[in-house]
Amino acid sequence: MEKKIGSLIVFFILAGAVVATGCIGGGTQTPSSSASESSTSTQTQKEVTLIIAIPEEIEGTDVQQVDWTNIVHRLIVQPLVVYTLDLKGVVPDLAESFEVSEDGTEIIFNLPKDAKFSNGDPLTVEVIKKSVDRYRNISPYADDFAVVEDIIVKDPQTLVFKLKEPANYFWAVLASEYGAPVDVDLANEIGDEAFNRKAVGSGPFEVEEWVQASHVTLVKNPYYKTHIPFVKNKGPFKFDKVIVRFIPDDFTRVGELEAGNVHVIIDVPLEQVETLKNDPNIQLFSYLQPGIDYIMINTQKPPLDNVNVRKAIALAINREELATVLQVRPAHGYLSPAQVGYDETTEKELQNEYSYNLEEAKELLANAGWKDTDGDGIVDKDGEPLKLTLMVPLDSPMLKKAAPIIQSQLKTVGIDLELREYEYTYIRDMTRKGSFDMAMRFYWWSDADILIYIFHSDAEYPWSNPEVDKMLEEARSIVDFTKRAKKYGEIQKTIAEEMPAIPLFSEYQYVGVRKEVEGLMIGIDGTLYLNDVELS
Amino acid sequence: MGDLTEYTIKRLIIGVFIILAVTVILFGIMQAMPGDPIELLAGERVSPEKIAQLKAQWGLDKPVYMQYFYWLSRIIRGDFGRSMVTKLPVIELIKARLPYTLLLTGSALIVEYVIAIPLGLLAALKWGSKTDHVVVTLSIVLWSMPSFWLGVLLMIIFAIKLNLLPLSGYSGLKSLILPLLTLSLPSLAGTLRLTRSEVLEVLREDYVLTAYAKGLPKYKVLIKHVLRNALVPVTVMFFLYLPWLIGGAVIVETVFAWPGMGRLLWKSITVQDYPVVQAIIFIIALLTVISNTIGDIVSAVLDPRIREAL
Repeated sequence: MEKKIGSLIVFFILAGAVVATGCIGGGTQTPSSSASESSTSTQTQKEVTLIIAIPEEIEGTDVQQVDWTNIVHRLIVQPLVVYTLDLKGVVPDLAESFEVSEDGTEIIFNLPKDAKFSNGDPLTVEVIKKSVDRYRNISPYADDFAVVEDIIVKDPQTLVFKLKEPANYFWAVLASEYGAPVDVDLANEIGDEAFNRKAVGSGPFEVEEWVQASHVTLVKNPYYKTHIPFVKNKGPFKFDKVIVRFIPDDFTRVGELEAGNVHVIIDVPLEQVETLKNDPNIQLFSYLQPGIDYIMINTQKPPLDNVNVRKAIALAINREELATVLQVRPAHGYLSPAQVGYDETTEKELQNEYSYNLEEAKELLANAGWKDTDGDGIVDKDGEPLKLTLMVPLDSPMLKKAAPIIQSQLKTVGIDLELREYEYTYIRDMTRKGSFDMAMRFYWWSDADILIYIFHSDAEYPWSNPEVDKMLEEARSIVDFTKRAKKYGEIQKTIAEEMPAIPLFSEYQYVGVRKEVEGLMIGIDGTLYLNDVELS
Repeated sequence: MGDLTEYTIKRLIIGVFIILAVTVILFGIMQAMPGDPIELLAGERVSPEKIAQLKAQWGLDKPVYMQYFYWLSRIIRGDFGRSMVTKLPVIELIKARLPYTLLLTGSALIVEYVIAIPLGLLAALKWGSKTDHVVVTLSIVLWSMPSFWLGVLLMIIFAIKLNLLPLSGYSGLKSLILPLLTLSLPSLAGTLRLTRSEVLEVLREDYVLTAYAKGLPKYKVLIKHVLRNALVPVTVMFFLYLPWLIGGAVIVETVFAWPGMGRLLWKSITVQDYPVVQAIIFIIALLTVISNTIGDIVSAVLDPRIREAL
């Protein structure tokens, strides 16, 4: 009896192993080191492949169906325009040129005559219009185009976006992957699900294969043409393939870069930055977070309903200390230099008014009735100590590190801050419901317009101010980049007067690139331009 | 054979009830978790109307017990629905990743047994000697190594410094070696110790002495009598290990960027991708109940005393 069972067991194990190996088959291997494949020699017919590693797998390849985008989408689609590298203006990409009407309600795009998608399908102005319609139907971010009243096809090469009102912030949509046209006719033919596996746009590459959990292989789009003035190569890219590998573990990702198996990693963990800086084979590019990390305060919950208490907290936080310890850029305003609408003068003024000042902080607390009457180091009022809870996102390493520092900083003015860790999405949920004291939050968006989603009364957070509402709405319609920045300066100063949120810092992000990769460009918000890249 | 059949049937019925109970508990836990999956997926720019629309689309606005019955009736037909994140059928996500996980964990299980059983036997035969101490100590040292630490160590030595093996990802059988070692080395201590103690027990039994006295060659005694009896608990343990084949390699898969189920399970739990989490945990639970049932039946076959127990 035992014999039979013994052999049965062995049989099942072997059978299982055979079945498993059989299921895997041949064609789904991770591309191994491309060091042997990279050669610029034009005599050889060797295929040149660029390998990029990102931490998380994509949700899908269709920009109109996903919740977040990354380099994969950036390579498959092509927006009508892009921002300049310093974010101070907008230049054509897919479009040959564009004009904005005097009153700012019309954007007229001139499209190239024989533009094609990467599969050869014609990229006509009608298709672009249909693409926007599809976006408004199925994308979770359909409201991005809410300001568009109508899209008019004036002639086969001219497309007019008629806006309900001038909207400078709308460029952020048009310049992103989300706003880029996709092959709608193909999508309708094969269905959304199939299109999400293998979307088609007019970007420099098209999807060859998406191997679940492993990588995406992209091949060169021979029809690609761009009108971006600051790139030298306006046609198809200089390498044949791109493989984007999903490598979640930080150490492994950096290890592959150091070993030369991967050419570019988008997300260098901060602990590895020093090591890579000293590695002669690696170039490091850094860019600043287009946004800030901040503390949102529940202005409806006592004692935080007193503006002096809120200001006291703001003045008790030493941003310079945070910056030195964490290697971040201190934020005194609600915008970062990597955003459209940022104004340097405003941040300096806010820095002067609200920077670290222990004495003033204590004074403000005293004025609000909070004094340390029992000598225990914590201020109190009517017998109650000033005890507050800060929600800390456990999936945000930088904020997690900052929390205990802030806790000890607030202790020096007599505030007892309790730290509670949660997942970020849960924190966002709770702040919307108003069940919090203070919460650490952040945002990433190239345009100052994001402030309307935080500080406007429609945003459903505890604080709002009708004057700020009005100013935020007005700022949306200002056409001139500089004037708009000035308006956001006023908005930020008005918000700061009530201090419903305390800016902390902006994080630096690093992109690690092998030295064999030449010609890579990166905007201050982290947008990568690979048009001029060659592998040596 | 009568009471074995009776035992088997009773055991199978209990198994079915346990599976149903698991589905209820699983469903209930997902519902009770804080956070709302739609709100989690939505970024800052999604309007409240769109959120409500998405909720209705996913049937999240219906009462809980109705959601449960819909889900159960579809599962029975093999339809696990679609991932809320990628909109792809859950079955497809699982089918693409499961073979890689099974390859890794299955071969790790085999390697573990292939190393641990002979070593356990050796240690038992040389009981008390230096060999015994070395083997046991070595297995404990390996057992106490955290998998990510061992994985990174092996990666540094063999993939980076010596450049002998691939660093990460699946690129053929060569890329299996490091993750396999990382998975099997730490856990072989359990099987080794069990084999060793079982063999020691059997060696003390009278029938072994009898077999030697009858003049049987030593190796025949070892294999036919000692090992065969000692391995009974080890065999049963094997069935209890089976469910871990699916989800048990999350850390190793993450470190080595192995395209298996690990990342899928991890990610879907964090973003509350209900359909995916429910599917994977259901499959693991199903496998656990099945292998436990088989394990119980196997031990009832091998040891008649157990048949009275039910």
